[in-house]
Amino acid sequence: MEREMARNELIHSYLSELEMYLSRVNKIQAQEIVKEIESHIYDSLIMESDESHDTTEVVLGRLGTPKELASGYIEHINIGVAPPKGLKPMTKITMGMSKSFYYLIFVLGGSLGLTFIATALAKLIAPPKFGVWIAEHGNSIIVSFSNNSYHSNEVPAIWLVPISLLSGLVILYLTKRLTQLLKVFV
Amino acid sequence: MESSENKLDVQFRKGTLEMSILALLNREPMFGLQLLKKLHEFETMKITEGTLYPLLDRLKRDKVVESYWVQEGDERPRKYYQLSDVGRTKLTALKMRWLKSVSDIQSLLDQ
Repeated sequence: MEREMARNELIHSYLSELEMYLSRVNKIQAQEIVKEIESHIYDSLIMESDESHDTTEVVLGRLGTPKELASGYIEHINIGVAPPKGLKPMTKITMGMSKSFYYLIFVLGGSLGLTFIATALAKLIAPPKFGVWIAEHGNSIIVSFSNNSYHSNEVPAIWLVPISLLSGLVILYLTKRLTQLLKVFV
Repeated sequence: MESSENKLDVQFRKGTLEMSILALLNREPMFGLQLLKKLHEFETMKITEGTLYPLLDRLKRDKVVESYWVQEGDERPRKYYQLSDVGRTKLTALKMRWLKSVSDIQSLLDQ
C-alpha cells in the first residue's frame, strides 16, 4: 500500500513536470499528451509486472526526463533550426537573463498581489482605521492605518475591499501564468 | 562516444522508422505501447518511448495518422492510432521508393 503511494507520487510529479515543460504547447494538446503518457506509464507497469518486473523508475527512465520528452514534442511543433555555434554564448546570456527575469517576476508579482490582498483584509477587519483618503484640497492622497484628522472624504471606502481583492488575485494569476511560461528557461 | 556504426544505425533507422510505423498501423489500429512492442520484435527497430510518442504526435500533425481514445471497462483510456487516407497514400509511395532503393543498392553491391 505504502509502496503504491510512493509509486503514484513519483508518477504524478513526473507528469506535472512534463505538463509544465509543455507550457509552450496549446493547453488542450498538452493535456492530451500528458494523458497519453500517463496511460502509457500505468499500462507499462501492468504489462511489465508479468514479464520483466520493471520498476516505475525504469519505465520513466525510458521516456527520458520530462524536459527531454517535452522538447521532443516541441521540436516537432516549432520545427526550429538550432542556433549556429557562434550564437551559443548569446543563448547563454539570454538564458541567464530569463532566469533573473523569472525570479524578478515571481517576487514582484507575488508580493504586489499579496499586498493588495492584505489591504483588502485590513479594510475588512478594521474599516474605520484603514483606508485611502483624499485631503480636502484635493492635492494629496493619504493611505492611513489610523483615523487621521486631515481627511474629509474617503475613497473608495468599503469598495476598497473588492477592488483590492480582485486586483490582488488578478496580479497573482498573471504572475503564475508568466512564471509558467518562463519556467522553460530556468 | 558514439561509434560510427552506431551513427549509421541511427540515421538508417530514422529513414525507415516512419515507414515501419505506417506499415504496422496499416494492419490494424494500435495504441502506443502496443506499437512499441511490435517494433521491438525487430532487431533494427528498438526505439524508446521517448522517441516514439513525439513521433506519433508529428505523424498526427501531418495528418498521416488519426487518433481516438478507447476505454474498456475500468481500464485506463488508451489512445489508438490508425492510418488516414493521406497515410495510406504516403505508405504506398514510401514502399515503392523503398523497393526501388533496395534493388538499386543490391545491384551496386553485387557489382
